[in-house]
Amino acid sequence: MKELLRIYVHIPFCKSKCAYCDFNSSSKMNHMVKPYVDALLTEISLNSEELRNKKIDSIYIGGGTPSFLSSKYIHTILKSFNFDKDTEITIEVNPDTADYKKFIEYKQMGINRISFGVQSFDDEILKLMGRSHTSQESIKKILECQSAGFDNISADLIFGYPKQSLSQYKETLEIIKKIEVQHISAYSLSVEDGTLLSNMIKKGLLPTPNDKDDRLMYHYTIESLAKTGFSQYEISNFSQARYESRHNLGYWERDNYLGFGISAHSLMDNIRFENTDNIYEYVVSLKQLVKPRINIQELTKEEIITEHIILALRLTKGLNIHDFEKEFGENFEEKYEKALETLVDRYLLEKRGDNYSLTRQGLDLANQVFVEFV
Amino acid sequence: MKKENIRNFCIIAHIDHGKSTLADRLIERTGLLTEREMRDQVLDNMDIEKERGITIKSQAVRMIYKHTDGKEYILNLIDTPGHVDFSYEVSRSLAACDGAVLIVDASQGIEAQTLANVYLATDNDLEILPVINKIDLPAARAEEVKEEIENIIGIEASHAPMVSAKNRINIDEVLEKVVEYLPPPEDNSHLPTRALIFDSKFDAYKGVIIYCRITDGEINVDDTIKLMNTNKEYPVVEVGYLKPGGFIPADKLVSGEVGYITASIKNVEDTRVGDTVTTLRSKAVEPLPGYKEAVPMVFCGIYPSDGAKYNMLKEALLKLKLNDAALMFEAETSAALGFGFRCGFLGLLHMEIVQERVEREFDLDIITTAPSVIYKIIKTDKTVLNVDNPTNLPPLSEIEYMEEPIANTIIIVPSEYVGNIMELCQDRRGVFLDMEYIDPIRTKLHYEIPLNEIIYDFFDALKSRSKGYASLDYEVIKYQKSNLVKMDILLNLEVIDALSFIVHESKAYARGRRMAEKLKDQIPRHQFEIPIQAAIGGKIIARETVRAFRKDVIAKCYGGDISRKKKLLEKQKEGKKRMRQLGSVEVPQEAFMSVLKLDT
Repeated sequence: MKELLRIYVHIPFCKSKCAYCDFNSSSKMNHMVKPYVDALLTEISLNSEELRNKKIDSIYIGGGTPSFLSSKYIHTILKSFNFDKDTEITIEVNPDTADYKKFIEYKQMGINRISFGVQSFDDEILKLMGRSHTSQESIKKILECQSAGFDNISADLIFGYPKQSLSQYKETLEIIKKIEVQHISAYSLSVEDGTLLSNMIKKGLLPTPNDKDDRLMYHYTIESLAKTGFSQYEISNFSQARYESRHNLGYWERDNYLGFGISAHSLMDNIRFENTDNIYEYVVSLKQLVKPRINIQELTKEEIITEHIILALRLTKGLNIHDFEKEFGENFEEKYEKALETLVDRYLLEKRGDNYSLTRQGLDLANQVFVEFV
Repeated sequence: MKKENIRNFCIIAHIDHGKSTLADRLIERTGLLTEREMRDQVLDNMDIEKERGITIKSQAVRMIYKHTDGKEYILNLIDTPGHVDFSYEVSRSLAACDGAVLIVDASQGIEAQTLANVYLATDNDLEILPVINKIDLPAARAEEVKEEIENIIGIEASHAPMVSAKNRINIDEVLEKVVEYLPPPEDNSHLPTRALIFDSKFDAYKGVIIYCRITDGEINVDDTIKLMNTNKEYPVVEVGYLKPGGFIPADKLVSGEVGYITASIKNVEDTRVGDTVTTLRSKAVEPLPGYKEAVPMVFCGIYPSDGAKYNMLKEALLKLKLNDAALMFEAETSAALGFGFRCGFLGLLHMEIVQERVEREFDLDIITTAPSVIYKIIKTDKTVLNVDNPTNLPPLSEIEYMEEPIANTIIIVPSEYVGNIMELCQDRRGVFLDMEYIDPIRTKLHYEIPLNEIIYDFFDALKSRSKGYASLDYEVIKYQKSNLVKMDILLNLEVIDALSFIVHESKAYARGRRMAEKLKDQIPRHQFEIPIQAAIGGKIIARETVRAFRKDVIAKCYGGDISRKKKLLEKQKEGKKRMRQLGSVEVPQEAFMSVLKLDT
């Protein structure tokens, strides 16, 4: 059987930059689109060795805003990979940069999963977030996407935003439930240094998000989605049965993945590396046919174990002690006896069957758990 | 009779006026070391000394200088500690000299420690040669500074060399004038042997090395020496002269000379600075005057962060004590911190230096408790109890009254900040004695301030209220009856003994409240709510609450970027390592020190 591989492609362009975003993306780089896509294609061809004889199980085109690019670019990129009809192919879409025509094109080129950057269905909050679309637009585009034949749609939501009330957020959840998507990622806002949002909070233009409201929204998400048949499979991810994101599960289960484009991360046979985060460096490097990799790090056994634990515990099914022993030849419970005892005492971790997983409180304080294994 | 070819002298200066740099230049000019061999500031050889630009331990060097008169002179430069905490050590170094070079910064002029050092030098009958340093600075006002020296100190300054030690300007003139203006030593070779110890240090190979000035008689390699105050006798192993970083063995040291003695001595405590060395062959009757026991003034508890490292901490303190006879310590236990040591220091700087050396040279993480002075407790049964640890205070019902040490305090400050500084002194319960205008721009303030106010970030406050210009000198002169109370701090309803302190009643409320606020900022959120309370005799006077945390989770995993997440967790882990479990609460190590800086 062929070895399994996942592909991530990063598209760093956006129509406008959102207030909370510290991801590598830019709204002032339109002139770089063509050279960037050319460089991407070069990078893919330079990795033909890594791609040969692999079964590509998922491709994820993320950003930035991939839908900001015209479909022909996306198509060219996608064509350069050897995928089949079982491959899960996701593209991230913003409501204001896609329409029915684009969805049809996506469908035709083999994309089978759409991840919508919805964030909120409240126009006031969307404005604060610096999003360039309205809630009406989001609803309309998701419906168009469905009529174009997509039956695996995910919506990204953000909660805990300054000034966002619990009732506003509940409303957003009600709408998304009605629209009938298959997957929801609900992210607790994290305010990153250097973002417009962080500066506004520092200047007192927006209140500091409060953890109490944030958690009320999180707990509400879990309960409310459960009633509609969404089960939580990761800290921030919910899906209808069998609609988990295979690609993201791959990150948490430490499958091999290759990232293309600036700032893209890879894990290949326990070696981690990433690409430069500078678009010019990236383009120049590939013009010279040099892979733009930096921070190549071969993981030690202990590092692999740490990763295994903190990633497995993000999943609601948790860490299976037999899997652990099979993979590392060590007994999980003996190796971490003291930490496990404390964490169970603190009601952060629980054992169900042969699996350790985060408790309800553990989901809120996951870092407190992870830090014990670092 | 004089020994015309010898000069024994030291350099005195306020901190930062360039003492070590000038010493380096003199050594360089007399060719002891070539410029290339010259490490900057050869006399200061401890890391901390270099970083802080101060000299903690004194040493000496012997330089051979050919004067313009054609004759060769032996110049013994004795380096003195540069801080007020070490004033006794300074006074003994000075006593080993016949003259002193007084450096004054051409832009800053006379400062508090300039005066303090000059007073010490004149107490020891030293001839003083002023040197104006940093004359090449744009702000230099050399002529005014000369006038200051004449007016305030009352010594002739017209012949003072004008130098820049840093840029090697006019260094030769300093050497010339040392010979011309500073007196040679008396030749007392005929008298019974007496040598003054001005420093001693432990060497792993030679044992204790005694640095001394031979006042009377001589010491030969085959003599047996006797230390007159500690009454110990040792056969000499080696005597000789000193060069930077090394020794030049000789057959004997004679009256007027400066050098070293080794005698397989194991403990610097037996060779206290200020003690007199004599020989059995030519035994003196009276020791040289001025010997004093080291008296620690400031105390604190030092505990290993990791309780298992108690023995390593003990080793570290023992090793430091080999070279620092003024450091005192004894075992103590704290309910909160476990096993540790009560340590006594000459002053705050001495305390900080010891703490830093333990952490740096022995790679130990330590927790230090609030510094304390010695309080005299007069009990109802009229017995007197000295308390240097708030935990040992007897019950209130047994206390008739308490006394605290008072420091005679001199502050020199640019006149524009006088108001600020007087306010600070007032706030620190200072009693104003007098005020004197040194020159049109600077004022000397004289206060009596309780020592327990000085040990709480007084120096920092002084600096911050004078843009760094105020200088300080203090000395404990007496004990005084005072209305003191013990403040307890409770975390999660438990008294944490390591955080208790003694404070004047008038300031208790404000300090308790401030302390609770500071701790609130320092203690991270826990899974439960933590009340922080300040209490006097069971009565709660302040309360703050560290709210329970509700969220500590990285919600999003961007495009498989695991490294970033791991880095965040590693940082969190580092923070956790620096935590100390006090009862049910984790307190970061920094909290113990930061609560002392309540002003900032």
